[in-house]
Amino acid sequence: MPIGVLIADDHALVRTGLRLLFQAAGITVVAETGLPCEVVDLALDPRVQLVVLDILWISRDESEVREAGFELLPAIRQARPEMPVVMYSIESSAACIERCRQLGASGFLVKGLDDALLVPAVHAVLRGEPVWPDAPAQGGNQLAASELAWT
Amino acid sequence: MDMNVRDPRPRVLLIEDDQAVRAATRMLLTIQGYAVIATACLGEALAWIGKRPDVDLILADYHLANGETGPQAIGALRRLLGRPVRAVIMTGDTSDELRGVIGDPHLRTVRKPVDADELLGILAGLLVQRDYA
Repeated sequence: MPIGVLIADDHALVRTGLRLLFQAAGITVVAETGLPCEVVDLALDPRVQLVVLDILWISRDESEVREAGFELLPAIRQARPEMPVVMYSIESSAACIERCRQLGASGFLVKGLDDALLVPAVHAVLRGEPVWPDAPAQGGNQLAASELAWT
Repeated sequence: MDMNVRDPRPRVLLIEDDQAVRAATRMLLTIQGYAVIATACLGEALAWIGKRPDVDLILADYHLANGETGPQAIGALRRLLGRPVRAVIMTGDTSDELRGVIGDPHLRTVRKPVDADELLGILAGLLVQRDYA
């Protein structure tokens, strides 16, 4: 059976990028959503074997950003306790990563830094191997510096 | 990367002050086969261009931080490069914003929120245009 994933991220560009990346790797994107209220319902689809979940979500009127991923992660874990959730976020502080670990995530990938690891991470997590950063970024400087190179 | 080996991918200079949008855009373009340098402001872009002027396309948000605008940034980079490098401006679309860019044959605009397929189509079209300009 092909691998089926749910993409949950408020940025349409990210969802499209992930969909194209996964499709090219033979991974089926069962569903994708930019609305936090849809995530748990979509995760209940039995074809979904893994969720890629953003942490920071902007409201539809772009007036506020909230850490909806921290609410959605335990909700998904409650609805589908056996299903792995991989966090995919620009927010990559040690505290943030540790909170995801405590809430039951199976992995953490940093947007812009770990994009090449997305497909291997899906396979690893589905094999039961968690995927966590070796050395969490301390604030945004590390990301900013690493961005200044062709990727 | 070995600087002596020419990377065949089209090179896009991205100027976007929103870190999340910058990461999302870079991720999309990288997956689609572009080499991307992601910068947050004109200063970073100028610093990069000074070292590596071999840029094929500029993709800039209209409203940047500290009052900078995408068209201003593109104009400055073109002056530094000495050529009308192809460029795309991502804009929330007000007539005032678009007035200054109409008539530039090497410039396109894409409406925000950006549709990924539309953006990719515009970039691909500009690259083809480069070969015949």
